[in-house]
Amino acid sequence: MWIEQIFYIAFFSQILLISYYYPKRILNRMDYILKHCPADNYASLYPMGYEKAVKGKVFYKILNFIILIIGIIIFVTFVIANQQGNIQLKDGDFLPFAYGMLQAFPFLILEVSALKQLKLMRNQNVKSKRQADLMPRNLFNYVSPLRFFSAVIMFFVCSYVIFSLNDFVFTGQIAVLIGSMLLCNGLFVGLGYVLLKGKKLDPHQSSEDRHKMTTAVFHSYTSVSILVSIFFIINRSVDHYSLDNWEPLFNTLYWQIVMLLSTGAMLKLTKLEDVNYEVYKAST
Amino acid sequence: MQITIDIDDPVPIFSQLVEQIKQAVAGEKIQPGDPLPSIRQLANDLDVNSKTVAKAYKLLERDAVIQSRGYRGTFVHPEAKDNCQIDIKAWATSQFEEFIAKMKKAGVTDSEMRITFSTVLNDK
Repeated sequence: MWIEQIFYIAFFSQILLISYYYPKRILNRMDYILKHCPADNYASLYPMGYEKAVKGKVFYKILNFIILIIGIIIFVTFVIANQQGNIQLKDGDFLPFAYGMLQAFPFLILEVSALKQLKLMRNQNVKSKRQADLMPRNLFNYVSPLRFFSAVIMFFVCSYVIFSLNDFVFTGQIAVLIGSMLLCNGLFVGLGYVLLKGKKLDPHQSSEDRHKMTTAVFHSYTSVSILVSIFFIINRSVDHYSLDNWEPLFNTLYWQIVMLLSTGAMLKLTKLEDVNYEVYKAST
Repeated sequence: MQITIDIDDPVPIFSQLVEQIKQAVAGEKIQPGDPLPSIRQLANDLDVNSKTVAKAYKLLERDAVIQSRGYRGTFVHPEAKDNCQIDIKAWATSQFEEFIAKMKKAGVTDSEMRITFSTVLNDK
């Protein structure tokens, strides 16, 4: 069936996009920093040391390569089994998410490692001069009201659709869905609040770079929030209208769009060439 | 508009903040009615205790350089430019000099003045 062919293409695209294309772009960015900011001049940029940064890069590369190979093996196995009739397409609905979780693992490690390095950076910061903007930071300095309220409205629309497809009966399954949405959006609200009102994560970062970074993060949060709502609507519709064969395709497309609008947007909005690296120089 | 503080400077941090905000007003880098960051935001950005920023804001509010509008936040006072020219410390010094001269003329000793001053100040 043609739906199977489309799923093969979409799932293979998921493997390449998240385990090859984005890691390659991130590795290029790491190379750019390691090349343009040597440890001798930019000591503050490597709180764990230059060698550790290089080792981290190699580890990230190997990890993504292993996940890419696993993905190709899963893909080939699934296609063969599906063609031979041993497995139905609808049985593979969990595949995009299960493999997607594995694909997200290197990104998670990267985030945790970045937070650790920033903490070390703050502890090692001995500069006596500190700067601050004399302007209040508001949510709408970073995200347009249209975008923000679209995310809020989508949350309510999604909740309404979920209830209506269940004939407005509050069941355990509905509680889990609404709870997941609340948890996801609550996480964004919490992290957003820390970014807006909390301490500077990077003590050396210039205010322009902080503004760009915060804008990119809010852009990503609102996009993902809207997508989560859309996903839950599709997910419930698939169950309600018995579109079982479509579910794996929706799942893989959803996962890729999430990555495009989160990691992809972050990479696009934060250009390394525009970052002020002078603040990391040892003498600054 | 950015402000810079030096934590190794012998001048207290709250005084550095007061001076820099007054300079920003006098230099028209911030205008009357402009919003200012919240105490928490400024304290977090400068990595100092929020009580230090609160003290600076309190002094600026006393001098009518800034004004707090409750939950809406803190803003530059409409008369801020004129008010930040007033040196309240210099005014207080001249008032005390005048008063001490008067007391000395009446024969009050230095120690009597100190004790009375402390007693009155502590009773307030």
